[in-house]
Amino acid sequence: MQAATASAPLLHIRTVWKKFGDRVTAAGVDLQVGNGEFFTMLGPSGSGKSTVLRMISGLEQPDDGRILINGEDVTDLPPWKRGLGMVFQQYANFPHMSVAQNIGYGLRRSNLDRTALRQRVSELLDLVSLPGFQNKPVTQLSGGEQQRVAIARALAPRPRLLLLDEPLSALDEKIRREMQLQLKDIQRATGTAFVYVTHDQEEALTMSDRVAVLNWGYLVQIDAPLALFRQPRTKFVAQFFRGSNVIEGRFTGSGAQTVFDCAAFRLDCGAVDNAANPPAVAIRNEDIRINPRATEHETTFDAVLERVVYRGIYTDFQFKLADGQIIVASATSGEALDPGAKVRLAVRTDRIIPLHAEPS
Amino acid sequence: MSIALKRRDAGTVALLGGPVLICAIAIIAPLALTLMVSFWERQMIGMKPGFTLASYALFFDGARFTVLERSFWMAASATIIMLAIAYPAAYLATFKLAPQRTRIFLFLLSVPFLVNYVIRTFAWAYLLGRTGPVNGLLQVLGLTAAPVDWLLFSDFAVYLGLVAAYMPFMVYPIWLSLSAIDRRLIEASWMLGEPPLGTFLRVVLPLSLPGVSAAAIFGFVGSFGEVAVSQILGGVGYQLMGNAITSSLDVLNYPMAAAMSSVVVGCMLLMLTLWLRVFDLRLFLGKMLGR
Repeated sequence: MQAATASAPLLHIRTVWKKFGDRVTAAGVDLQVGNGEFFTMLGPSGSGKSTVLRMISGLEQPDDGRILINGEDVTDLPPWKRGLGMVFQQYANFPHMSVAQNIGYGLRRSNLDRTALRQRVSELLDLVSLPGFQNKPVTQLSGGEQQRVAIARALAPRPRLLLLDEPLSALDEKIRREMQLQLKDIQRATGTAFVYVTHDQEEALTMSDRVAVLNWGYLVQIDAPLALFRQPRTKFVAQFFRGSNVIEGRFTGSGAQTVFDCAAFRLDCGAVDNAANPPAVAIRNEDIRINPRATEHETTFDAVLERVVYRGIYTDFQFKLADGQIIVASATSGEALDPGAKVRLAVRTDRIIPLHAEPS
Repeated sequence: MSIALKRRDAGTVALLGGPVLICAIAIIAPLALTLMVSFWERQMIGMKPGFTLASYALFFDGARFTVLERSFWMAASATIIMLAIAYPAAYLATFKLAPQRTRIFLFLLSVPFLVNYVIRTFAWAYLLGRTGPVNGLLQVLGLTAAPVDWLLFSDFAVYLGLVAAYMPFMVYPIWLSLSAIDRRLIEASWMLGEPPLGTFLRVVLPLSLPGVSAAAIFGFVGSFGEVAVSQILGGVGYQLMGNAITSSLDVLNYPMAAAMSSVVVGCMLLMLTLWLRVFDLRLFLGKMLGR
């Protein structure tokens, strides 16, 4: 067992592998989470995000690889010895206990006297905005209230790390949005590092300091929300965040002179290692301008308008490129265009993102 | 249920009416008759309507009351022994067996009930007898020189018979309440730093108490009213309450049999009432265990 050192990251997952039968749910996942960080693992169902979370908690064992907390190898420690907190999707509050008893559950071993215990419980209830709820039976609370009790319960023993497994997915839309902001506030107020699992891209972008995107057990990309949104690494990431075009083409030239070439435009990419095959680039819908006054940093190309989809705040214009590929541009102002119109589109060249191959 | 009752439509009345009627004819009426007869006067042959407490006085005075006490302790201790076997069995079936095997296990528990229980009890008498296979085996193994006497016609034999007769019934309600516990509650407890034993005491056990309570009622009521096991495995003169009642009937002392039955039924009702209070207080019990 390694000694904890100041320089060690709070959580270090070292090339962890896990298989269920012949389905790989974690394929050499390697990541680090720092103190006070809100870290999100994002992916569709079956991507392995929950499995990785359960391996951090100790509820699952990795087939291979190590898990370190503050530099200490906890891979072989059972869940009750890891000093972590966990919030479950379906709350998992103890139905035979009151709110206060639920929150106090993990404090039994902390040797607090009655007054201190009561003090800590009411502190936590204030934190999750449920003051005065001490003596209510948990079974009579609404979904949002139950989940807040579960969060308070998990935070009560001051865990080194709070793990959250899709905690908002059982709640309805409106409460979910309120809870997103509240969770972020709670995280800031306590300074506890959160590892959050979700399949909801909006949730990930709203709350996280960094997001890891997983697919088929592979870690595809780790980045801050804005970078992830603007600079998807692979086709999967680009398509997972709705509102991206993936345009396929081919490479001409080689090495540092590699040029991406498709029917609409050419783009100097420089050296692209491990490029997607066939070569492809991502362009976000809102980065495409319709019939613009050209500027020097933009690439322009012709397209034919296929259809117009009104989406409320913005409108999607669906164009066909010369080679038949579809490209969608979103605009907030209603361009007076009819299907069949030939238009000129423009994109800033630094907003055209060459894509890499999916990890395998 | 309560909504359906409020509506009082024809369907509800028909659905509830049948069972209520059967209950009245098959249970309430005979019990009322029994209670009535217990106050009648005994005559040389048969009895005469009237009101006398003679049968009760005789019962509470004599040796028969000792039998009641003994039956009570026998049933209570047998219930505790049976819970001590049924709970671990149900626990293993719920948490340690694969679902496929759990089904087989539960089916196997019901197999003995395919045979009439008097025949089953006689089979025990054969197995445990002086010349039975158990004694034979003990002697072949050299564990005893002569046949062991306390195997049959003893408290041991009666306990064994009661366990064999009622314990399997008790696994089901406990298994039901254990398997209804959300596994994530157990995981949540672990994540809060509580190791498996603490988790069992603070989460699993309190949440399974309703099943334990139902099982205890099954076991106790069955053992308290037992006749065959005590007669066949207890031997001549071994008397539990059920035997005392049948022997009164044998000598045609109907008022006495009725008085004893009434006392037993009264005891049961009293105990069930107390039990249901505990049952209702399970939240309270859980609170105590969960602090």
